[in-house]
Amino acid sequence: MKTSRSTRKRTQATLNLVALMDIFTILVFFLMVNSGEMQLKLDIEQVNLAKSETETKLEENLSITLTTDDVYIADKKIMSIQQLKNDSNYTIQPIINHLKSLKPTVFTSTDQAPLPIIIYSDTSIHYSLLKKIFQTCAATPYRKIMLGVQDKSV
Amino acid sequence: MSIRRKNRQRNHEEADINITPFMNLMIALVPILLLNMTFVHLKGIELTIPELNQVISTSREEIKKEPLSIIVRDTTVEIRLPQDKLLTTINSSENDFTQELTDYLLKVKHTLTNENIIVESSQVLIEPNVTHQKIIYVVDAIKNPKLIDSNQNIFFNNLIFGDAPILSKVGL
Repeated sequence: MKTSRSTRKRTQATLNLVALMDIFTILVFFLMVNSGEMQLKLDIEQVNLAKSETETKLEENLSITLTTDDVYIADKKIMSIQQLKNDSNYTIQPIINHLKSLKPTVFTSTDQAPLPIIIYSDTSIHYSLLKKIFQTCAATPYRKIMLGVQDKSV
Repeated sequence: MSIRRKNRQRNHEEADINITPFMNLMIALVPILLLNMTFVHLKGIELTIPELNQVISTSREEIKKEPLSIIVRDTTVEIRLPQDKLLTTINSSENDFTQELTDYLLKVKHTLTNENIIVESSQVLIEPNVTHQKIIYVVDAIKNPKLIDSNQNIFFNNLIFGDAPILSKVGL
């Protein structure tokens, strides 16, 4: 009688979850540290961002993204890179028009403080194209430019 | 009798910790956090550009302050003093030249400090077909925190972007 009861007890207590719990607890903390505060609006595969040593954090704002093929504002395609190359004007009108349509009021007020804008650009984009984007931004209230880069150390 | 009862009580206490709800929580939390995990850590480099109609006046002021010129070409980076004296040329065709450029700028800063000259700004003159990554390397070198000396004097830190002079005009 006595022995049978003790064996039944032993078989019930065999599942040991403590080790699994330990792993999960560590994993949860690791993932919480690594979870991102912000993400690229576009699919990251399309933009190969430049690597930099800078420590400045990036805040989420309106963005202009230059992939190898296209130009996007937020996540809307504005023009192709080829069109940007061919545009010989000092400022790029389609970009200004789209920025205007997003927030018409900031373009009409006279003493508008510089607004922030993020420029994500593929590593292979040439300076001649970036310069056009800078000049265009200078013509709008979006003059506080942040270049979006990825952390070199990671 | 008393010993046996004690034993039974201890056994009972050991089996009492119920971690099933905690397990359930973990099983839910782990996939959520996994999905949120980022592999690219985004950082930013700030540029302040003048208003369009201010461009000319600002650049004139900056030239008065005599900036250091860093000319970024396709395969080389030239560093020039305000009087257009060529200091050095760094090969930029290799992968990452930030360290080399930083080391050289620190050397320039050192000699300038000895002569009591402060050059606050630098103009980065870039050829049209230089890639974005190379510009970032140059900006990284210029923004290096070591370029601020003990008296809080900033060296080369104010950035001005511009077009590079054509090679034949400079006369290398």
